[in-house]
Amino acid sequence: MSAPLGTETEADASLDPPRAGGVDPAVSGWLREQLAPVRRGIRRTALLGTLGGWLVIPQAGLIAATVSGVLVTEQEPGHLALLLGLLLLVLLLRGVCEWRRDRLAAGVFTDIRQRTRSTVARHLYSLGPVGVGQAQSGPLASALLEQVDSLGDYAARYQPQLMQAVMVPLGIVATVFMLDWLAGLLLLLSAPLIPLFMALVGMGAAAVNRSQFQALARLSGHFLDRLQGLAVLKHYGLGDAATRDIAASSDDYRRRTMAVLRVAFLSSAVLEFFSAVAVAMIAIYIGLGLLGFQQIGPAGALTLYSGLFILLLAPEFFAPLRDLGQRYHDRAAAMGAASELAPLLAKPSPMAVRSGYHGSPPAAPTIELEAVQACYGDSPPVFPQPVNLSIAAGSTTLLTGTSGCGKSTLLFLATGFLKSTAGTITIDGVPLQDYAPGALERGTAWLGQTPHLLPGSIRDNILLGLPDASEDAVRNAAEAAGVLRFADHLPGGLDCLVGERGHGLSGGEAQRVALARALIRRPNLLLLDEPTASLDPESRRYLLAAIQQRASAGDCTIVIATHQPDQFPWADQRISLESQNG
Amino acid sequence: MGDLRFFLVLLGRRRWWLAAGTALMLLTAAAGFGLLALSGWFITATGLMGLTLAAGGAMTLDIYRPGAGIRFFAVSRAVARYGERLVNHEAVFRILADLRTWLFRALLPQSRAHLSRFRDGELLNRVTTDINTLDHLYLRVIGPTVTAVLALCLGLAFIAWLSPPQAIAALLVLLPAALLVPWLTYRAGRPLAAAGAETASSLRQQVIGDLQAQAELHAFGAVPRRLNELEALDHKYTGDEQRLLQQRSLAESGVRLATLLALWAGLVVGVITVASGSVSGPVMVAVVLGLLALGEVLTPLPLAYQMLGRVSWSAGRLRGLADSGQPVSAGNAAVPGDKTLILQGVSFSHRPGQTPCLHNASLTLKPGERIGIVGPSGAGKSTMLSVLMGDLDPEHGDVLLGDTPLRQISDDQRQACFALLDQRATLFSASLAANLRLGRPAADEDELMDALAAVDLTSMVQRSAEGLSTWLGEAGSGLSGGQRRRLALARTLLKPAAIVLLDEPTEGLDGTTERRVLRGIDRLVGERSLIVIGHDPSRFPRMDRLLRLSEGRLSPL
Repeated sequence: MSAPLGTETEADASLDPPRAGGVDPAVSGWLREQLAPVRRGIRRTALLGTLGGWLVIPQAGLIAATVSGVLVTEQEPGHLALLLGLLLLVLLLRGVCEWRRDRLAAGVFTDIRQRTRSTVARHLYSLGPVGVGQAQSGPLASALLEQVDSLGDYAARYQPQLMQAVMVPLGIVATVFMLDWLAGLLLLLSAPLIPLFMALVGMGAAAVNRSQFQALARLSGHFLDRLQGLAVLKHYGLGDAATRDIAASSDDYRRRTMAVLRVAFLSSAVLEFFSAVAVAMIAIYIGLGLLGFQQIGPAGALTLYSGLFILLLAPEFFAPLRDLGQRYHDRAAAMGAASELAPLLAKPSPMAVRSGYHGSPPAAPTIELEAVQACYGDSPPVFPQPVNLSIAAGSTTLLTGTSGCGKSTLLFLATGFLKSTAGTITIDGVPLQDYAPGALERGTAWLGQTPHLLPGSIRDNILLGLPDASEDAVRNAAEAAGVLRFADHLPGGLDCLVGERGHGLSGGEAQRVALARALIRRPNLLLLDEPTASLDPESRRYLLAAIQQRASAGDCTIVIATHQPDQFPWADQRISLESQNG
Repeated sequence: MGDLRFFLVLLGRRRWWLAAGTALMLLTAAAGFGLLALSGWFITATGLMGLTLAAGGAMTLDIYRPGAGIRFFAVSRAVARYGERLVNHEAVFRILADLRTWLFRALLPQSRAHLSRFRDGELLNRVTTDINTLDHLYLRVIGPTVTAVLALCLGLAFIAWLSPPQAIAALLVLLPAALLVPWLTYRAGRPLAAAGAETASSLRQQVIGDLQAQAELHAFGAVPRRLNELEALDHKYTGDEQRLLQQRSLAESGVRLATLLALWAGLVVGVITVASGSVSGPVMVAVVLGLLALGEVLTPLPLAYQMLGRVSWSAGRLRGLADSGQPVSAGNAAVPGDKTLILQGVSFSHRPGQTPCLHNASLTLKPGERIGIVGPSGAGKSTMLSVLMGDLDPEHGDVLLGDTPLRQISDDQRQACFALLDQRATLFSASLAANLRLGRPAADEDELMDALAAVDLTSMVQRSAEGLSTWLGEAGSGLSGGQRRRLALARTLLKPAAIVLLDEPTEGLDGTTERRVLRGIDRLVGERSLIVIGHDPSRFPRMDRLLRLSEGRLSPL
């Protein structure tokens, strides 16, 4: 059995046929917008590139003049030295031009990546937990990292090359026309119309890229899928079979991709072929003209100088076009990135906008909801009936009800993570939207069902709650939440790294760290979303004790969404969302 | 460098493809050289003859053979380039396949429990990045290097045959550049390449962590601070990349300038030698133009040697991954006929000081017996199951199957004794039937439908147009969490293993479905041994006895 899971052939029998263009105008518009701040850099890069490209003309001229000088006119060594000196100058100048161009390009490369990354990151973070919640963090992270990265080469290489690919050949063909109009015509004819040629190259390159990207993406998808499940495959005794499966599917992809590539490479081969044949034809035309074997057009006026000059320029006429073809995958990658990033940035934030001037409430606030309704995206309203409720200052309130009845949604509404679609929410008598941005957060702490620790040490994670907290405050919070109980056994104690590269903490331990992080803020509004749902008894004990202690201080309003209200017998009120609605 | 050598050996398996690809690269370079050199020779020769003829002199020149030569080089360059791209793409695809199968083979001996870490997205991402980087080893590093060395040697030898002084002049300029520039780019770029990969990894971790912790960050007003930290990290990351780019542009400019200077030196020496009459004019021009073409083979070197730093770093990381994790200590003992599972004073804890998962635990699971273990939710349970089935070695005590310690049975045979449903329901992108047949490869459709009936998924399959051949997308997407879990349960129950281990089999199911699924488990487990772990004994199928796991100790409930 070579393929325990079958091969992918069933799912995707053919690669998409190559197609040209097909870019959404909104997407390319977005891409243009991103390029706007670096336009100047791109123009300067292109200008320097064009200048460097044009220096090929005096370079060729000086070489031809030197050769003709030594072979034909047998000039003075002094005159030749002048020509050679000038040539050296041109060569150095060309080197400097290209070096400066690349440095400028590196600046553009960095600039656009940093700008776009910042824009995208700010937008992603503004979506809040509700907005992000619908998407997976993995793909979002790769949008923010790889996709944004791919704009760098597009701006720094492809865009300037686009201009160079027009300007440099134009300069060269103009020079050749002055030397010998027939040779110039020949160059133009071999590339019938430059834009047409470029389109041809572009289409071919795009097809190559698409099919290559697709094949690689699918191959990696298949590979990652099996790697991810390697433990399971091993359990079912299929480890070896899966290895053969990887080999077989890689083989299959290779064969199908190569079938596409064989055709796709032809288009760039055509460009290669045309340029090589054009150079050959020009060489032969010049040679015959010099011999005097043909007298068509201006051929009779050709000299060794002009002949060699033209011959040296001919390959340079095609070089920028070839470079552009090779850069085309930058464009394809950028377009792909843009078509993912543009819709992401167009997504409105579900967070409530707060634009008022109220500072944070002084102590434990009251919370009032009047006829409040909410929905997620285009889904139907969450609550069957608009919700009315009132939470007294300093009280502990339990929100109960079956899963999906909107307990978490109420907490999201109270924090502004989700905009209400109807009704008013007031905190401490002030409508939510009248608070200044960041004001409410000052006294709020949040604890969810699954704690999310950030990569770093336990201490970093606790300090996230209050960055300038003293060592005593950290230890007190850690003590109250039962973190010290296990942290003291870890290497480095509170400085032990947690997360992927550090120690794996158990769910209960992580939740205790998250609680310490919430407690260190000494919040006057504490929001808890199923805080004990999946905890071991020990962690649950710590958590309940710490919450109760906070509640008994009387300076904190606590709202707990829970399935198990019996765990909080000290609570002041219990609101069942079903009875509310029923 | 040892890591690189290891992968070079792996590449060696495709040496004929690599040789063909490199040969075609060389052929492309040679044709370009021939085209320019011959054209230069031809034009100069015809120009000189034209002058002689015009002056009334007599001279003959075969213009047909050079003309044919020029056309030949022109066509063969295009053809060689096309062939080179095809062959090299073939080669790269094959290398990629080799790298992947190598990784699988290297990982397989590691224990099942250890392999579970690949469920982590960040690790997977790193593996992909490293493999993709390694596949540059040939196309970006070795191929261009070999081509450059051979092209320079052959080209300069050919030039030396035509005009020794020009060859020496070119050599004096090209050789230092060809040796120095790659070495310098490698030296300067290597630390940046490693730092860059590290920073990229940190950046990704921060983004993923922050996106998951959005509720906390917003509630704590920590978003602006985290955004600033993210930007600082990004500045370091893109700053490193920019420095790499600047190093590369400097190196590339250096190489280009060296090529142009070689041309210039060739021309200067050529002018002198022609004047002294030791070399003919057309040959001198052929050499100058040939040098122009020859320089092109040096252009890819800066990128190659910058890439080498990254490649060798990735090579080290991949090798480390493949070598990490102790292979399971497995002997060659046969699986005993007696399938009684016995725990004798077993202790296991993840790390010293933490509450042990198992502490001096003893248990006997007789064939056909069903034991429910009520234990803490969350951490520790999957570990306990791993100890029970021998994927993790206990610190103290023994786990026996009959009279044979589990660790003495070979890994594969031991896995075959157990059917496990763990917390995460891992499905594969394959058809529904293929996913189920992991459990029993030879199962016919009736058996599959029967297993689906046991987990109450019959109606779902019947509703779907494709039935059993429905394709499950990436990691089983398209199904709800509950459906995925039930499918995984069906797969587990299909596996014809003597001992079935289930971790909260009905978690997340509503009452009615749960009752049906519990009956299904009861039916399909049949006479086999069964251990179910969970925190609520009312959600277990029919059990013979119930135990409580508390502080690592097992006691009757």
